[in-house]
Amino acid sequence: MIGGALVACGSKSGPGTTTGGSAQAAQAPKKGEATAVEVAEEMRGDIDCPAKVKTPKRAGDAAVVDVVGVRPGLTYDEAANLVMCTHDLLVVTADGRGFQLPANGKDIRQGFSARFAEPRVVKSSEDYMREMSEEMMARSGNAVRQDMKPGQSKWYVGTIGMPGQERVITAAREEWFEEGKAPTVATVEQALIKKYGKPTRSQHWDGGSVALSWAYDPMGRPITETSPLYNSCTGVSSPDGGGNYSPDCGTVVAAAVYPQAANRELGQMMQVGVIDQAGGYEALQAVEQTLQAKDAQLKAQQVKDAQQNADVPDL
Amino acid sequence: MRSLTIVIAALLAAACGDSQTSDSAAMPVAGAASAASAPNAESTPPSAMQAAATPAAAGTAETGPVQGLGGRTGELINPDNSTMVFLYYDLAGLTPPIDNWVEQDNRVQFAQPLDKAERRKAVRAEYESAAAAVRGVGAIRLSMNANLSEYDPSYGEFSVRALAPSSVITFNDLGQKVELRFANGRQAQVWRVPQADAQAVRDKIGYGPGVSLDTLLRITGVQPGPGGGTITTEVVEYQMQTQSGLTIARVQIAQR
Repeated sequence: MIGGALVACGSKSGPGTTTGGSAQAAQAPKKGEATAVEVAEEMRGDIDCPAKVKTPKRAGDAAVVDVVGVRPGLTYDEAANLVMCTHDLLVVTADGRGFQLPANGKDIRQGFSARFAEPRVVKSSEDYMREMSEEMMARSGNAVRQDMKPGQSKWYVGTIGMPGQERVITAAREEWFEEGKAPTVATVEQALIKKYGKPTRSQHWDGGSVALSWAYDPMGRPITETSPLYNSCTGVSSPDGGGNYSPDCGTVVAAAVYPQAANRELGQMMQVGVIDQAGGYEALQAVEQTLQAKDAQLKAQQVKDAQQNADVPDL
Repeated sequence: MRSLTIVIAALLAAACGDSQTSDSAAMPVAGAASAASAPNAESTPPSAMQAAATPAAAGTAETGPVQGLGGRTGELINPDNSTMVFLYYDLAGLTPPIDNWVEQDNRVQFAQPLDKAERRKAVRAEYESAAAAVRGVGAIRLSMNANLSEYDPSYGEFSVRALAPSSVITFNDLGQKVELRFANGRQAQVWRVPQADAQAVRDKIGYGPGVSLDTLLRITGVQPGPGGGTITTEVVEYQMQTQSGLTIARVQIAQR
């Protein structure tokens, strides 16, 4: 089993840093004050919505495993385009999470994050000092700080493949419901069941939160509670979570709905994620194998060149 | 967990589509007693077992010799660590560094000066003989613990977890690490048993230490890596026995 999406390997390449659906159109952020809309326009580049997906659809009888259209097997660019088409303010950036690959794999795009663009504010030294002071006060008081505001969503999409051929192996989305428009937890749960079918596992916690999962074995069969895989094939619903990749497990969709503190019947936010464990494992194997072969080839060529061209030391 | 060396993905991927096991052959066998090999712990190589390359000996009752990578028909039975290292070198087409191994061998390193030359010669002969013994080997018979799951009534099957896609048998010797994997583990691990027979199987197994597995593997690939490599195999057939010697299954896997 492979623990993924936990190790920062520093890959920042590709259309990630300011990627767009058509990544080439993305621009580097400009300087000066700008609204969130302006920042988003700068960073998203020329995006065509709705997104076009050339990757063949899944078989008609295959289980539903997409998160707002993003599913394992899509290309990096298709996924980025789909994500950005879910909201005008979402911008995509390369994510440093991923697998530790050999040095010659540094150009592989191992995924991206997407968040709402924030207004660009030019700050004075006084602003920075005040913010630092406020941060210090908040930390000392154990203040709870959410990194999302109501109405916002964020994504993490993990990909693997040789450069230019990266495909999605995991995707997760978190959405915070708008104030005054929040659905009930039960409504969200029913909507999830309507889309993904009967969960293979559902948990209702005392605090009001709900966790559902739809787990499949590598042959695409639902993993029922009588299966030996029932407790080993787990998914990840949070964009901030890390996933495991095992060839014994197939695709797993996981969802969580969290209630508001003031009213546990109402939803505050939900997370939905999908991971293709066996597919991810095999894709990673293929990448490592290819990188290893290329490395061996390069070293052999270097030795050959050295034998022909290298100087003989003076002794 | 990330420490595993990743290899042979294409074979794993290719094995995904066909979920057919030979159901008729997978039916439980009525309690015919036979001598079971001592089961070995999962993911460890069988130890202290005899290694023997027997050309044209590998095979199933129905199909004759099993042809492994490149038409090899030789068979190893519960090979030890060093034999698997030699087999890896042979399969990968690499020359084993026998000179280095001879010099690193304790029997040579700590031999008395007067005995060094003779000891070196003897050890070298051993290594060369071991290297020669694995030539032409295309099949391996292994005995291990089946790590059998509980019965899954949803799909009418047990899982032979020793044969799962994630299962890796590691052989360490001579400074090398050779891993053995099952390319068709996804299918091979599924032992279908009608629900009506499942309880009888469970009764035979009881609550003992487990079920032993004797399996025939066909070598299908090799992936060199730093400090060793991976040998990929396909499970051809297997037999499972209880600790008391009751045979509970003889299964043949549909080959691609």
